[in-house]
Parts: sequence; C-alpha cells; structure tokens
Amino acid sequence: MTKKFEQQMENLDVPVLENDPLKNQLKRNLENEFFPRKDIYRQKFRIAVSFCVLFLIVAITFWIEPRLPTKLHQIAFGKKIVEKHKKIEHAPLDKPMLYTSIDNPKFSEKIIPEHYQEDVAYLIRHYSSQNDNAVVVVSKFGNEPKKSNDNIIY
Amino acid sequence: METKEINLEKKAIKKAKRDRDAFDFLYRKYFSRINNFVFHRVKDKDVKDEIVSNTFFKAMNKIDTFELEQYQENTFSAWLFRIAISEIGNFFRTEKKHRKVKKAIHHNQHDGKEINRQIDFETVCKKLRNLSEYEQNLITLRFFEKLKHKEIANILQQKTNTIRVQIHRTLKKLHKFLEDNNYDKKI
Repeated sequence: MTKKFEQQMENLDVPVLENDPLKNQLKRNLENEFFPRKDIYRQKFRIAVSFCVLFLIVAITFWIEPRLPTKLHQIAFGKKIVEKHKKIEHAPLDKPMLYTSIDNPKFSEKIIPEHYQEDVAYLIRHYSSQNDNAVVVVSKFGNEPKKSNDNIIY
Repeated sequence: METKEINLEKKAIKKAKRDRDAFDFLYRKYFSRINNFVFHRVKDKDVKDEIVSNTFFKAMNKIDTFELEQYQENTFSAWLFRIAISEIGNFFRTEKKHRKVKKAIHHNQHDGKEINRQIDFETVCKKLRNLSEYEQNLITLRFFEKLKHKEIANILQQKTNTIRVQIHRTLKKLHKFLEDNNYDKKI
C-alpha cells in the first residue's frame, strides 16, 4: 500500500509557478539594494580616471625617454630599427674649433684646391636638375655683410 | 552538474556581491526553484512573495560568508533552500504566536497559465498541514520539488539513508491521514 502510495506521490502533478511577476520585481529590488546606480557611475568614473592617469604616465615617460618606444618595439617584435639620424657629437664650445674634411669623390675632380684659401670655411651647395645637370655653388664664410647705403626717411 | 558548470557557479558566487552579471546568473538559475518550493510550502501568494524576497536578500547579504572550499554539486542550491526553510519556519512560528489566520489564496484562484491544477495535489496539501514542519519540508522537497534523496540530505544536512528512512516514515503518516479522509478509495 505504501509503495503504491509512494509511486502515486512521485507521479503527482504538481502545479508550477511560471512567469511569476515577483521574479522581475524582486530582481529590481535586489539590484537597487546591492548595485545602486550611483555606485555604477562612481565605478565608471574611477575606471576613466585610472586610464587617464595611466595614459599620462606613459606620455611623460615617452617625453622623458623618447627612445623608449623604439626599445619597446625591439623587445616586442625583435626587429632592429635602423636609425636614420645618428647622434652628432658636437665639439664643446669652450674648445677651439676642430677642422673637418670631407673627401667627396664627386667634387674632388671639380673643385681645384688652389682656388681656395687655407683656414677659410666654405659652404658647398649642390643643385641638380631633372636632366642631371648640376650646379655647384661655393660660398665663402667670413665675408662681412655689405652695409646698406640707403637712407631711411621716416 | 559538470565540472565546468560548477567552476562557473563558484566564480559567480565569489563575484555576486560586486558583479551584476554574476548575481544575475545565480538569480536566474535559482529563483524558480526557490519560488516554487516556498509556494508549495506556504500556499499563499503574498506570504510566498515575502519569504522568497527575504530568502534572496538574506542570501545576498551573507554570500560573502558562503564557504567555497570543498564546493560540490548542489551546495549553493542546498544553502538557498536552507535559508528558505528557515524563513518558512520563522513565518509559521510568528503566525502561531499571533494566531493570525491568513487569507489563503487557493491554487484555483490563479491564472490558468501560471498553475497547472490537480485535485490530488490539493488533497495532499491539505493533509500535509497535519505533519510537522520538518516532515512537510521532506515531502515538499521529495515529491513536489522532485529532488533526489542526496540533494535533500544536503539541504537538511543529514545522511542520505537517514533521509530515505524519514521520508518513508513521513509517507506512512501522510497515507494514514489520507486514509482517514477516505483517500484510500482513490488509491
């Protein structure tokens, strides 16, 4: 008898609550209690400020050490970036000027050393056209600028 | 429940108080089970709403204290059921104290969509009130919520065999009450 009753109980058609309005209502109440909107905005503001601070730190670091991005790139991708502009070592200002000479085969045949004075600085400018016609302009340093004779009338 | 699902649930429990999505995941998973269980126990929509609300509020308040070590299948649902049982107990005790007769809303007063009615269920419900609170929980969990003995054992923190014996005894008792009501003719 009990076994049969147990079977009947197991097969009992039990009413089930579906689409209970409490589900959404209670969810709203719980969310208002534990996840207030104010907190969400506060949290978003905190995230935004954190990102700003992080960005500022990165920007300052790159400003202080501009070669850092290149180094980071090398570390990340293992490629060496060829530096286009090598560091120029300037002569200290308090020391006498050092002489430099450039042996350019392009000009060695065209510029005759006898035409130029010793210990005078020249500026060589090379202009070339589309048809490969070239002009070399040699300017001498140390010429005093011409004084203008124009009288200025106010 | 698969290991992946258990891990997902563990993460959700850990984050539920801070993370809205984690809370949403747990709520959607367990609301219906708790809601139906409380409804089958108290049979009063207003009281059911209050008890279910209290259950989830208490659960959210205490979720930080929930032990995640040695987490097993159904541990969290068992915890929720225990809170609900405690709330139901509180309700019945208060009701007894104040001798307030609540206006019961019968199942046939609900929309047809919400409830699938059965007269046998109604008879069982009426006779169930003659049993103790603990016995009512046993019958509700086993035959209304269709939980396994092991799950009930987890909820009531007893051994599975003990639960099996208790259910058997309670069934006998319930059967006797139903017999007194000439229910045996139907059986």
